[in-house]
Amino acid sequence: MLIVFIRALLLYLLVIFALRLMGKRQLGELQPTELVITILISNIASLPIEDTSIPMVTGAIPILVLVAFELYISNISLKSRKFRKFISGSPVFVIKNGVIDQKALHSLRFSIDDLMESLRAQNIFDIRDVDYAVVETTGSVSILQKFDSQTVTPNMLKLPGKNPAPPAIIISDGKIVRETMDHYDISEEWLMKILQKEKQSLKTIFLMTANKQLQYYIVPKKSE
Amino acid sequence: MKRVLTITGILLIILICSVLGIQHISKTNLQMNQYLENTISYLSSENYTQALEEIESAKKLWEKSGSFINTYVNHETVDVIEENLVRLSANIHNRQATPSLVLIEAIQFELNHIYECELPTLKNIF
Repeated sequence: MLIVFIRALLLYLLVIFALRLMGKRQLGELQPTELVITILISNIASLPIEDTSIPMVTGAIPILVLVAFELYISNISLKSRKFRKFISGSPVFVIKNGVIDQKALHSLRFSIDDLMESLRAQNIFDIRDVDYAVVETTGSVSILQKFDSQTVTPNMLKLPGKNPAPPAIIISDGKIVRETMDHYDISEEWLMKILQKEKQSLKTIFLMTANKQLQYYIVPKKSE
Repeated sequence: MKRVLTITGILLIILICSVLGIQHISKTNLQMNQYLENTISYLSSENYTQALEEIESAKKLWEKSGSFINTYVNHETVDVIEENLVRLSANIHNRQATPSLVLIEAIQFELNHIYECELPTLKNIF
């Protein structure tokens, strides 16, 4: 039992290392090759955990080999458009100028129900509101609504305004996040002044965000 | 680029270790077969004492090499050889020449089998 415990821990660390090596991707937006690798890695990692007579390298080596080839393929895909198209395919327009391309849907084996589901997931309940829809290589659908159906933006109303810098975490669970402070040129003196003004200390803060304009937001810790 | 170099380095290490692993099995097999051949000749001349000594040397070698081979070969295969060596030792101790010779054949087959299974042949790949 101890062997199973240790193997599970080691393989878990190896899978984390392998996924970190592959780079950041959200699960829902994996390319076909990445999806294959992810599924394979999880299955392979479980084999030496389940059967202790199998050497651990029987699980570790295939994982590392798969990660290696995934990295090679993704690097070649970066440099060669042809290769990228061969491996991942191309995005396909299924709605153009408000007209559904039924042939494209058929070639993708994408049913109208699938299309409607994708539209509803993006809060579009009327297909007449869609100008263009593209099925991406990951299988997700990107949509451009018709001008009349688009959400009003300040630009449309010719409203003036500045681009606000996004707030970032500067205190997380009582600890200062120095990288954000340095990135936004926020000084510790300013931070201490604000904490004094809000009658808080580092230990009492659960979350504090701030932006370049020094607009901040504090969530104090809840007392137990 | 850094990731590609890192993983390429890891792959090279894996390939080198795989080749060294196969060489290690080959070397161990040669030594084990030497002990087993000597045991056969001692058994043929009914020299059970010397035969037992050879098998004890073979067992020591297998204990040392087998624990390393265990890291990349199925454990059950390695255990079978260890089990057969123990049986062989018991048979020689009881002066049973025929069963001993049968077990020696079995051990030699299993040793060769381990080596052949590690080679990157078409039969093994498919």
